[in-house]
Amino acid sequence: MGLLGWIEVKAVVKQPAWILLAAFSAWVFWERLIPAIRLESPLVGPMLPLSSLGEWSRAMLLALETWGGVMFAPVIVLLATGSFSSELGHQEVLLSTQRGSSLQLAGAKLMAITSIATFLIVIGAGVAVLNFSIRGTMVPAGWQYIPLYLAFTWIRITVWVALTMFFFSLIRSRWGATAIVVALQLAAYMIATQGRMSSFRELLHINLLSWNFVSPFAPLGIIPTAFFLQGLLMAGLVIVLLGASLWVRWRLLGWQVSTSTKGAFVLGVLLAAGTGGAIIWELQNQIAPFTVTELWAERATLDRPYIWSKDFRHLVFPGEYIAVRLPVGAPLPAWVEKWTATKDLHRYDNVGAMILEKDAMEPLAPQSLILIHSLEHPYPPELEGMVRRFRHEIQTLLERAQIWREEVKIIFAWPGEAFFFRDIFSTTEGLLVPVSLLSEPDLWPWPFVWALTATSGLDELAKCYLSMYLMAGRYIEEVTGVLAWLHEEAEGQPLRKLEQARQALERIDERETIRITMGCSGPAVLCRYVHMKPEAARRILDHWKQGEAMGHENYIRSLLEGRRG
Amino acid sequence: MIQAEALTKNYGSVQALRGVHLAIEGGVFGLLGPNGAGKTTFIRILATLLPPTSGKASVFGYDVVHDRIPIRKMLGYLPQEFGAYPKLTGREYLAYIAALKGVRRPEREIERLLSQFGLTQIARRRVTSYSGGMLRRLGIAQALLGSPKVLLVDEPTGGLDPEERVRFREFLMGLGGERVVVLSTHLVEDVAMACDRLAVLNQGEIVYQGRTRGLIELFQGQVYEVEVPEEEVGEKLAAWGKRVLTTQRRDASRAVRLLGEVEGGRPVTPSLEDAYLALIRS
Repeated sequence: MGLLGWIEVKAVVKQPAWILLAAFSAWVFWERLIPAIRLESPLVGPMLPLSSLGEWSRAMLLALETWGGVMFAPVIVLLATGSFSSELGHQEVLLSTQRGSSLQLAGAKLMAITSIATFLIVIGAGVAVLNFSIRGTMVPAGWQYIPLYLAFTWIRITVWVALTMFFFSLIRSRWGATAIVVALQLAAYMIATQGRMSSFRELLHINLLSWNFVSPFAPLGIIPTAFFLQGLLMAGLVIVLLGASLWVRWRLLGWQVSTSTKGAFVLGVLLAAGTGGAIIWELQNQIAPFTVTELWAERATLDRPYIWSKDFRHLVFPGEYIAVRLPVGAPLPAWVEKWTATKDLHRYDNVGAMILEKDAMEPLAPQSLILIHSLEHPYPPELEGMVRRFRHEIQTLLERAQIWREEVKIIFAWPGEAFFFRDIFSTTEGLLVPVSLLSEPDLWPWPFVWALTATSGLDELAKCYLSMYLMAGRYIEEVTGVLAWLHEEAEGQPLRKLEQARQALERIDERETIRITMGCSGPAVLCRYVHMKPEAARRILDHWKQGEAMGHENYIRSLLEGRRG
Repeated sequence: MIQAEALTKNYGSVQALRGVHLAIEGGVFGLLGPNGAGKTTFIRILATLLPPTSGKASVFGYDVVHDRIPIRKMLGYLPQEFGAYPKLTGREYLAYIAALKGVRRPEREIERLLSQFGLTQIARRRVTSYSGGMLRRLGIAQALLGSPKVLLVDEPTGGLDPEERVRFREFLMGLGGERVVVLSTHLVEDVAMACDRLAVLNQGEIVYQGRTRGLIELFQGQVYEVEVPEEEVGEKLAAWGKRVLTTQRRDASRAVRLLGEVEGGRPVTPSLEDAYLALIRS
């Protein structure tokens, strides 16, 4: 097996397809194009940050799913079919040898192709470390998971290779087999991105694509048994496909199928069916017998940490970092209270809302969020680099906010990962910052500074001014743009455009079309109060002018004193 | 050593082999027949690549249907259309086949075979760069890996230039001894040079088996040669029809060999080719 495998490796690396695979892998990891899959929504989330060795290796596994899988599959399948189609030229000699049609040779081919593909992906992913923005935040935490993720990456690739082997055995065409496997991968991805997770089939599918929602908060998945079972499921599928490939080959040659081939096939079927069934059982065991509406209406209690409600709303993020969603005012369940002795437990009321109706954004109900973590680590060590960068980024903003808020505690909340939750909430303890925002620095400054103004006690327009003041400390070019936009709003330009559009609409006859864009071009948090409101824009500009005349700090203090007066 | 009893093979409605009975002992054995006679099908059944439709075949007592692995362990096979693993060098390919044959520590044997078949100089080159002759030599080298007791060689000289063909026949002549070598070919010269015994397969049936010399003796006194002027050749050949065995140009005439007496002809000692053609046409 060893020598056969080695010779197959040499044959595989003589194909130019490997260069394509390495280059593609390098591009994907350099650009961090690996989408994360969220618990609450089957749609893919933001790109992974690659902020730790754990995340880096986990990304290799996840890169093979979703659209990454659609892109990686053709290259890996090309590599595999190159090896299989070479067989056609010397098939007769091959089959006349004692091991030529054995599981051993098929296994050696499978292992050689998979090992090379895995190696190339690792090499490509290694290039990411040369990217300064990745290297700057990467920490060694999570390194201990590297062998496990690589092993599962290897197993995941064997499924493609075995699938290719099967279809190649069946149709004896390199391009035909490639097309079928790629089409299957594409279909799997397309199905996964249809709608929200509102049925068990979709939950199961997303669970498989996300490898049981692995993340820095749950490196072994939210149900570790399901995570490991998935590895076994893949191994079972590979054995089934290996057996089926040999079965097909023998039958096409007119021979009876050997006992070892039949045995492998049956073993694979049993393993795949057994592990598949066990995964389904594990997931079903985590689904509550009540809907979220029943829980919110207090017709049911969260008597154990069910991950999902009966209608597939996410309730509990389990593991070392626990997050629980409850109706505002609901008592803590007993199983949560038991953690108070050994863990850090925090409850935040009115942070976000629960969607009560399946497949609809309304009605929403306010929720409480309970976060439970170890006393030492309020967030996983894998996030250390990102948190450090985040703190560095916000340091100027916090210092400037000291005029009205002396100390601002930052609480990192993982509902962002778990619940597709993106707002920053100002709580009595501090600012609740979703962890997902750490990986997207371009998105957070305005919502963050807006949240910082929450405790100023000033009116909304003054808070808009405070937000601009905070931003001016670090992102002056942003403020320049906002001032220009405020002037446009103050002069009523958007209103005039609206009026012109209305007049144009009155003149329009049936043959004409008119395109009107009336979107707000300012920061979202300010648009709410300023867009189409010239008076409000003028008020903010007045604040800004007085701030510049008096010195912003002096002016803000006077505003705060006025509030007290 | 190799036995076939009432062996048949059908491809749909086409009968490739029709109740073949054959016994092959040691040495180089020729399996001669025209294209489409069923030679390759017979060889593939012996190589355990094809199952027979009915009848039995065995190699050293092992049944080709039920004992495929023991047969493969003692088998070397050079197929009619030999192609090696294109990504590998000659040496790598031999190492690969050695591994598939379960040959332990094959390095010395590989070097010996490379040297024996004049491949040492090109052993580091990819097999895709080999000429037809080089590829055939690599093919026979791979077939001999593991010192097989049975060697099946199917049309080994087809497509080779005359020099390579002569060279290849010389290789084959040296391969007999304790080993059973079955040489399947439609070229009479291959068998004439290399085989003591042969079988002639025509339209899926064995029409002769025995000593090579015996086939010639079978037609002793029945082959006549006649000189025909060039301008009469067309007319005469048409008149003699299937009796004509061979023709040979001689200045302004042709020497025509025929089966059976002919006016103006003289009896000649038949060559193997004469005897083979006479057998096929009779």
